[in-house]
Amino acid sequence: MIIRILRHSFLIAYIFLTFCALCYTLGRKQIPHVQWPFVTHFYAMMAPFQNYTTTNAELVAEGLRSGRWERIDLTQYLPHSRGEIAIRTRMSSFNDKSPVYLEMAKKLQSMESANGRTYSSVRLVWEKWPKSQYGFYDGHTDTDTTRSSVVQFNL
Amino acid sequence: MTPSLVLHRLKSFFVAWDYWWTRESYPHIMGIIRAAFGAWLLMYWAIRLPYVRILFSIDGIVFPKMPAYMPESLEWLLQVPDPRIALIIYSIQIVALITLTIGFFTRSSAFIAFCISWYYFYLSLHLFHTSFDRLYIVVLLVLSISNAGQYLSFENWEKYGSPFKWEKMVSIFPQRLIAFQITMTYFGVGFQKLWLPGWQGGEMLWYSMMGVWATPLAFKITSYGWSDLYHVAVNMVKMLEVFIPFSFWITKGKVRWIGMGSGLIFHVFVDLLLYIWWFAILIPSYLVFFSPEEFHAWLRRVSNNRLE
Repeated sequence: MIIRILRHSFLIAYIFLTFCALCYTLGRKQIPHVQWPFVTHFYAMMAPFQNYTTTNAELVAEGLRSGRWERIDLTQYLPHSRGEIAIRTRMSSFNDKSPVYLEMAKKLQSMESANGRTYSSVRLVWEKWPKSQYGFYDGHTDTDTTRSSVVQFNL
Repeated sequence: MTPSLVLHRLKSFFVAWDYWWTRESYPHIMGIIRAAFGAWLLMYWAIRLPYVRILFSIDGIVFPKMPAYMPESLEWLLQVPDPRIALIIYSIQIVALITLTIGFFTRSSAFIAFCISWYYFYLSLHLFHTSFDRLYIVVLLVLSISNAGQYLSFENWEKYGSPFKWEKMVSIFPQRLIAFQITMTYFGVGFQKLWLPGWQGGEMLWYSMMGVWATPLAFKITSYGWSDLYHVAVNMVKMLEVFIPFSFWITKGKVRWIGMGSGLIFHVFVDLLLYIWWFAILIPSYLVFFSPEEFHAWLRRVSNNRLE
């Protein structure tokens, strides 16, 4: 009997949270008095791929050595697909991203140094360029690419 | 309508509800789902083996996030570990997924894999914040309360001399929960496309096929230039995704098969055009939309009664 009650309680809670998530997915309405962190998990299970952009973007890491900025290969520290790196580096789980990016720049500085490349500064920059029908980097030209600084860590 | 009639109808509803969600039935479907999901998750985690140190330890770029519901006293759980500890946790995850796949200490294995998946989610995977990671976690939780080791398992081989032999009927509850979640995933994903601004034209597909997820085949196709066929394709995706969650439950005619075929085609196209392969496990999971009784009858028929 206890198992039965537990099972149905679990089921009703599951259906209720799914319903809350569905209300938000379909109508952008949050059910009052229901804590959002409990609903997030259910919402995220029914809401992939909602929008598109006309530009491609990439977080670029650069290190300063002998007065020149050199590009740091991020894939050695983020061994993921291009899409996963793009999403991860947005740091969208964090409300305040600045300290996270600063920590990332610090970490990159020390990891690069351990690999024999010592930089006096490491900076993170978002590069954005128009999408091209011919390839991911085909629109990545000097004239069409915009760069916006994210953070700089000085040793 | 008299109160006694209302009471009678309510009672009938609850009996039917209880029967549909929790009746005892054949263990085959959950046994197969367990083996398929276990093998899939094993592959999903095993491919990270060369990178454990930089993915999940202080040697890498790891930013954990404390879940809002987590008490402060437990926050130490999500401290980024040192490489040796990270390797131990990862090894436990792999062992748990192996034992889950072969059906050995099934429930405990699923529960351990669930706990470690939850841990990895907040340690690192939250930055990717994907639907599939959350689905995987839910399925592991469901497996940990199921009797999915009652068929096609090492436990059965030990007990009865064959993994195909079985004795015990199991609750249909875990199967129904997975079916419910898959339905709601397709339902939400499909219906929101009817109003989402991004999904009102072929541009959605056109630009996605040039984005970070695009495969070489996608770029090959976009290189031929824009065509109104992209509008057609987006509308077809919307129609399919709205149709699929209902079709799974319609046993009349060939509706269910058409729905599953549509799901298969949809996922194959997604995998070919975008590097988003993680949802492919949903295809074998469509098995949960068959009743255990009809699957058992089918199994007996095709095996000439050799498999019970």
